[in-house]
Amino acid sequence: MDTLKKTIIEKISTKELVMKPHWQFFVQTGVMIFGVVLAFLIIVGVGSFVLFVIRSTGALYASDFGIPGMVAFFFALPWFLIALIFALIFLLELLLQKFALSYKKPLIYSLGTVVVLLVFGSVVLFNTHIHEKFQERAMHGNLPLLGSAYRTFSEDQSPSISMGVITELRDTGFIMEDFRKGTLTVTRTLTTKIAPTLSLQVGERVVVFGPREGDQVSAVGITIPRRGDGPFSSSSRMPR
Amino acid sequence: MEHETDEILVTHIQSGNHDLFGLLIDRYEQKLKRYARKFINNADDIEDGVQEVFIKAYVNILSFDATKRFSPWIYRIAHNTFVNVLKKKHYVPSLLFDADTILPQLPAPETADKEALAQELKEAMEHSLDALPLKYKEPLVLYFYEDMNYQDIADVLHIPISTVGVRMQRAKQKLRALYELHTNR
Repeated sequence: MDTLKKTIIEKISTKELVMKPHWQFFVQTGVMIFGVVLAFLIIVGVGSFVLFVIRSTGALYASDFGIPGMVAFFFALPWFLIALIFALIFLLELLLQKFALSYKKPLIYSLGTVVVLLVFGSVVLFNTHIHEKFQERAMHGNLPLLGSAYRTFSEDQSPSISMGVITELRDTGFIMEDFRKGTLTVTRTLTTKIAPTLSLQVGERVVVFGPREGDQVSAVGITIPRRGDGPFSSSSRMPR
Repeated sequence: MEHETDEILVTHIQSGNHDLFGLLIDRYEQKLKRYARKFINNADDIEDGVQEVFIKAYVNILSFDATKRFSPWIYRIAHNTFVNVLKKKHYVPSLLFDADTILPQLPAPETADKEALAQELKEAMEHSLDALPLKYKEPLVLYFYEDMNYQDIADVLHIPISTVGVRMQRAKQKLRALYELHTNR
């Protein structure tokens, strides 16, 4: 008997080498599946939160105002959360590559499926308005773990985007009560783009895009916050 | 028992007939050493590596599904073990996702050159195999030296079967180029 065979057979007969029991493989597979499901759920949660942040900070509306609006939209995106999503998708793909269903096909298939499912899950979760409820609880200090995330991200409004309700009309524009920034004086000019369906009147909910200095806003564009608009339909928060 | 298939032997081992594992060692020791020699130069590392493969195979044998082929399963363990040996010596880069496994590839069918291996390719493999990157060398070794088909190679390397075909084609091209460079010197 050669040395290698002798060594191994000896180790087997002296019980130095023992087979792992079946249950260990089941547990191992179970842990992997749990990891995949957990990663998926976390990404869906973060993804829907990103949609919530984009809408609640007004970044969504900035894209209505041409290239400057697109630039503002880009900079208003919660890049930390988006980077977190990419990192988690990478982690999820690493886990999925342990399963034959995934590694037997080109990566693009599992990645594509994962992305489609994540987008779908995020949009569905976003539409449950769970984030509005969480935010309300966070504002009242009743959300221990996630509270600071809601306060940090959803309140971090772009300086060039103001959202609120018109409280007074003036010749040069109007006074609005911003959801977060308080009272703002909005000045409109001949070049200010106003949404065709918007009639400026007291009580009207508006989104104003334009540079702000103190409580003065020079409006580049004014539009109406969307309600019931596709996947982004949600009850917008009214001023406190 | 000596004439039984690997899979039947494993079924008996799984049922508690542990001594039969020696038969599997008889069948695979030289094959795995030959496989290891294509990647590892140090004789002690080869011996240790192959021993580690058998130890891992025995320890994990209850996870083997006897309805599948045993050979790709033990070669998968060998692949991981030898890659780890190479990584410890910093011979291989650690890539989490390889570029040629990302996009779908046009299927490259298996050719008949295993039986009638072109003389040129045969000589090229003898002279220039070591100069190939691991990801091209390994499919060639498994196909030509270990007599595996593309499906088995895909199972060993955990890559899509179409990627095996692509790597084989590129490996042959690179081999020929290396061999031409070598013979023109």
